[in-house]
Amino acid sequence: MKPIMLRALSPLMFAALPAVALAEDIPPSVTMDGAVAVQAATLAEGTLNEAQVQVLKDVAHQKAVVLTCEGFAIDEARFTGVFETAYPTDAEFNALDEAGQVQLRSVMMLVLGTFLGGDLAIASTDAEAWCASATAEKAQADAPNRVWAD
Amino acid sequence: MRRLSLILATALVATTASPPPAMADKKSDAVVAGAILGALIAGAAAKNRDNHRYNYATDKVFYPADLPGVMCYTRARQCYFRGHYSASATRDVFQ
Repeated sequence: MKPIMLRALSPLMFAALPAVALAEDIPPSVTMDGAVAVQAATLAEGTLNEAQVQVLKDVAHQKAVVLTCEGFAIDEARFTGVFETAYPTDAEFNALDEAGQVQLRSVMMLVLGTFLGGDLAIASTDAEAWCASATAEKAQADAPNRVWAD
Repeated sequence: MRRLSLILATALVATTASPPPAMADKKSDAVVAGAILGALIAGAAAKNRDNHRYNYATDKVFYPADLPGVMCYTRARQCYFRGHYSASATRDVFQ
């Protein structure tokens, strides 16, 4: 189904499938991902918005795949382009005082590192499944915030 | 400094990136180290504040009919394919 259709039908999906996950239904890898995201979001609070955090999560996930799985690499040009979307413009950045610039940079590195470490830990629990999932993800050529090389 | 930020991020993520350039002086190192510690301390202080977005134990999960193997969380706005985060499924369902 095309993404546009999914977007249109999402509200119906919510209504049609109102399942509340039972604890035993949640895969440990998902629970771990959520736990890491909570801490990353806490670190980002007051410095980064949700969209910026999402970009860092996507980038860290892809880097963890590169470190864990064969056949993946980072395309540095794509990485720079994606990272730029999470970063303030030159004008916005220069408008910050030095302390604000250092704070922004430090928090971005911390959040990126938090996601990366979490992803590596998750991957280590079942690298085969992790890499299989990543291979399927890579087939989605238009995946958002893609930094993988083709 | 904005450019330096991009270089540092590239060093963290890109496999072939050159080492980050040395800081201008020890004072700069101290400023950055202080900021990192400050962010960590602030994060620890915020631990008990409301931050429920990613608490999956209390979130509602649903399974998009046309995306086999995908599970998504309503409040977190995140989707997983066979138990692993999927950026594309997250985008398709929530954006």
